Amino acid sequence: MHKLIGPVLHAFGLSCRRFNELASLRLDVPLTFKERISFTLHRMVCSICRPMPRQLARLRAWMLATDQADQDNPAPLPQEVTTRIRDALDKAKVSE
Amino acid sequence: MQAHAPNPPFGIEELLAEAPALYRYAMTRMSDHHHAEELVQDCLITALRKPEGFSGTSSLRTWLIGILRHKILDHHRKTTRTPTMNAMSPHPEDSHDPLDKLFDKHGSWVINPHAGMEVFQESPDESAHRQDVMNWVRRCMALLPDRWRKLFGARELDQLSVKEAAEIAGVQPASAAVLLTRARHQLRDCLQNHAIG
Repeated sequence: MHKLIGPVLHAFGLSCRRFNELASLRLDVPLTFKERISFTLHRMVCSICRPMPRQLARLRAWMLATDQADQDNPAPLPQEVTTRIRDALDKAKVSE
Repeated sequence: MQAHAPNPPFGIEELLAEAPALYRYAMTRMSDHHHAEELVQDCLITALRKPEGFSGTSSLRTWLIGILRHKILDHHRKTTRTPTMNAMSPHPEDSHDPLDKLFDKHGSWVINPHAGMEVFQESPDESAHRQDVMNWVRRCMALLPDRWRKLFGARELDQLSVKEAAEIAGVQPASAAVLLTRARHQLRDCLQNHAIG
């Protein structure tokens, strides 16, 4: 399907590259009517690009999960960093 | 309004116990570990001096991360305003487009975008490769150009509006969505190159 329709889509500016730009842009800004039509048409005919919006959504989910895991189970700090922070807190406590 | 006890519900030891989580939170959003450490110190000193801000309705860590988040965003705003950074002007790294190596001149894929990305069909909670993927997410985030990382972190992790994220990263609001797209695809490409799936 893609091989047959792909060149036609590209001729109308509906390339895979443009689809993937729009797949990301729509996460940040509303697409114009023309962009929405391009995006929908390309998704209908291109099996390679069709899963990409979901892949980008999963990427976001993985980033948020990684950030949360870092807060829930952080790696220990190097001893010298802990010592510097402790010294700064002791100093702040004394100067209160 | 909850009455506060004469003695705060935490001391230096309790605050220090939260330092690793705060430091990791800061390092995800900053490129310089010295600045990250300074802001963690600053956050803990603020908590020590103003314990009445802790209502006890959330955990100590959640409260501290809220303080640190504001300090990091303020820090980014201040650094992007310094004349030496000339942050709102075009920057060489902004002209790099990672999509150039993924598509040919006609806009067709030159790679298989799904090879090695099977893990991204899974939710992070269900994946058996959770730790490996997270390690690569950290590494690939760290490889983003500094301004892209600030912009991307503010938008994706702190979930700020595009306008607010642009202000923090020191980029023009009009170009923020384009740079976010580049950052997203560079991160995707980096993860695929390591074939974690």
